[in-house]
Amino acid sequence: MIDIKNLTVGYQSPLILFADMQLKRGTVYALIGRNGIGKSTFLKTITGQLEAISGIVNLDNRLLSDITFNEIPRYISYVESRFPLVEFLSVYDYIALGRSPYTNLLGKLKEEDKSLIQQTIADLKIEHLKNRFTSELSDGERQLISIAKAVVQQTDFIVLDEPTAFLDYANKEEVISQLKMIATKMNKCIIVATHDIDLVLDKKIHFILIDEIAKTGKLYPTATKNKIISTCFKSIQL
Amino acid sequence: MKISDTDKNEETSVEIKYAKNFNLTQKANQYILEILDPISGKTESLHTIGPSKKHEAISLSATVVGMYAILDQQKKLKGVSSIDYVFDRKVKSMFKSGSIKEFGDETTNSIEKIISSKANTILYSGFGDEFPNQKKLEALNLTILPIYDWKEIHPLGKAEWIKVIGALTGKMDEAIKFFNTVEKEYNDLMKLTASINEYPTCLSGNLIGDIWYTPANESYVAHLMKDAGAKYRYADTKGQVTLEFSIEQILKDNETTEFWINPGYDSKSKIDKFNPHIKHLACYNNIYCYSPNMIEFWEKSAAEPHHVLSDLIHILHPEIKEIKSFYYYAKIN
Amino acid sequence: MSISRRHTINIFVLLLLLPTIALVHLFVGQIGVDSSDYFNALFHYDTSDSYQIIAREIRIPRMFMAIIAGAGLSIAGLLMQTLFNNPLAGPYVLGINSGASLFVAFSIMTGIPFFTSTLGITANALIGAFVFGIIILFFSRFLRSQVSLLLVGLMLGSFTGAIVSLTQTISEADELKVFTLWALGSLQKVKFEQLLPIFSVFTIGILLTTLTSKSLNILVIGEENARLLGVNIKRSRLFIISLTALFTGLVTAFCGPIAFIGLAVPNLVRMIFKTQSHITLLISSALTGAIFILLCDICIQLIEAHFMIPINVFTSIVGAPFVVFIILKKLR
Repeated sequence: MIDIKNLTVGYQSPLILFADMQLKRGTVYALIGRNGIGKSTFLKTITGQLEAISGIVNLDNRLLSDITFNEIPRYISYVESRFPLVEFLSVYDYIALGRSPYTNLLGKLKEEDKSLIQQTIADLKIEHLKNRFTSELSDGERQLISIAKAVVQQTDFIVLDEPTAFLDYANKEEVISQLKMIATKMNKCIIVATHDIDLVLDKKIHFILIDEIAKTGKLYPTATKNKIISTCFKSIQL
Repeated sequence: MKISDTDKNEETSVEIKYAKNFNLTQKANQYILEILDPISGKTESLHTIGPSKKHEAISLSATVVGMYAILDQQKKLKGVSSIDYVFDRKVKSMFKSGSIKEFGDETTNSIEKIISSKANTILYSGFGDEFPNQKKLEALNLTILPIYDWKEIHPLGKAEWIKVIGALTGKMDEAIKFFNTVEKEYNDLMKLTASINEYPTCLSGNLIGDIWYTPANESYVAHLMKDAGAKYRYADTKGQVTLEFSIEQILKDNETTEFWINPGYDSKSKIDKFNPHIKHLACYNNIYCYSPNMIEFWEKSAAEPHHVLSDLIHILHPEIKEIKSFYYYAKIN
Repeated sequence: MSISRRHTINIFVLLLLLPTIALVHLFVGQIGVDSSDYFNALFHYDTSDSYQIIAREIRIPRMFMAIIAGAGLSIAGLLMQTLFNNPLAGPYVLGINSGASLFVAFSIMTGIPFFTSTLGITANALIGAFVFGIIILFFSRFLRSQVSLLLVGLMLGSFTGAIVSLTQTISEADELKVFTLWALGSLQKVKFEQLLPIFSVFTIGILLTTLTSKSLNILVIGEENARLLGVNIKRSRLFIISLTALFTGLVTAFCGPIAFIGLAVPNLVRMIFKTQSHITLLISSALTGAIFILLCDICIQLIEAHFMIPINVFTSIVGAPFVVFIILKKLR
């Protein structure tokens, strides 16, 4: 569980104040807010890349600030919106990097690591991509293998920064449905920063909406499209 | 003796016995200097020089500076290449007082500085190419003389270039007198080695990078070695070229070589640093070089080859030539 | 990422090729040195036999230095390419050599005898390479484009070249000579007795480098991602650049600047192996680099009878066109 209390995020000066909230396993949370409002800042703060200006973040009852940088990968995995452009990096090798927080100094995969990777590949139905190079994949396929990498990292929390940003509609749907599957079947807490309101209007998905005027973030168990627009995109309505 | 092709009645040739790269012809109280291309032997350039002209020179060649000093004509020098490479005291003090200036070498000198010096002659070691800005300088009535003394194979040929300086400074008689003394001394020394039976083998040069450079047999160094009673290790080579060898070839060829002349360094620690593999050769214990007196050697040895020969004979045959001390050379320890 | 079966076979082939070519290298040259000369040179060394001297003092050190230079520079190039996420990075193009040269030049020109000793030159080459590694690391923080970093490296090279020339004009003839001869570079200046310490340092460097393979594998997907997978970015960067400096400094100190190997070999290896497994890339780059310089040197020996070419001239002749090929392929 991610327990957030009175959290203010920002670089030098406060950007957004987040109300107290508890983010639980088995759930997908959609983080919605206007561009540049501070979604990524929030994600960076709860993944320990950025220090909070004030307030508290607890990961499974441990203070985030007490968790060392090399422990963090065992708590939270993170999927960037941009996929690294590298040649000759095979899909299997890429997904296997998710195991690196657990492997030895030389990064050698044990048998159980390999079977976990294999299982995840099967669960996400990306068997056919396994032996290809990441540079040959479509954006949708890249997003799926990034999620697979996060899954093999075996963290309770998975954070994704706009995973659907560069995808076409079908791929967007595929990514969101996979995330829902992972949250429920694998019992993970998933936080997705996104703009695709329609895709996440689902009764199983919870919302963290960032109020454009008040500069506050708040958890809503359910939300309608109107609610989201009136909270996050007031300037568009006006 | 060479006779000029032109008007024979008025012109008399100056006798040139050893030098191959110039001819001098006297015409009234002036001289016609014919510089010959060292490779083809053809006329490279003709210059009218001599005392009727007020002579003020910039010498970029150390040898030439030495020859001015021998003829006591330093006062006619306006400039040298670099005062760091000057040995003569008088030139040094003239530099201090400001009457002689530094002009850098052929590649770094400034045309404006040359013009403003009011010198009318530039002497430099010729390399077959024109002097930088030669046409512009000649248009300003500067005489530009390439000096090919360093291309002379016979040590006395090198020395004979003092006659050119004699012609330039109006001291021809002194120059001829000086040269004749040198010639006699040199030839007397050669008589010492005429009767020897043992010719110790000699090596010269050193590694630069991975290449050992040493002159071929038709060279000043090889000529001196022969006159001093040595067998130059590469005496079987031809031409005036610089030979290039790998260190492997040198090691193989010089198992029995006894002497190593002119290694380019003045201490064994320096030799070891750049040539760490040669210490096993016998000649490593018989290394002689002029490096401790390098600047003096560069400036004076060309005009006084008998001193070089005397040093070498003593190195190679101490029993036939005793000396109190070396003139230029030193043994490297 | 470990070594796959296909790669194991390739590496095995390289492992067989290296000693074979090294052996050929020992027997190529103007002088016919045979195996009995080598045997005697190693076990009954007789300094009056020039063939044994050639075997022990020249051929054997030359072979080992070719291997060390090829392997060391290739590893340095690979480390830099991954660290800067730039296939055109390398110790030469990014000016790490220049750092070594600059420090060696400055220290020699001071005239302090220690600095002209082998130990002094080596120490200064290592420090210079490290300082310039840090400078490049610093600039890389501000540069997004791969080409910009190369331009900075180029400028660093020209700048130090100018400073070195300036230093040369004001230095004494003797020191100038020491520096000029050092800068010419050579594979055969190392003495037999120096091989063991040099090879030990090199081996320690190789062992330490294998420890970076895991972070290199992760760094491939970008520093942000690597950090979130538990890589201590600052420490890794420093460690990797130190190893780069170690290899570049060591090779430059003893063999002078050798261009393009560090850039070309890892690219060639990636093209053949098609992997980002850095343990595979490290081993095969080291082997390929060593084989490559040995082959270059064999060619030099074969044409030596006609004219002599310094090793860095030869590697540039072969390496520069290949680098242009990589640019055409990747940075069009």
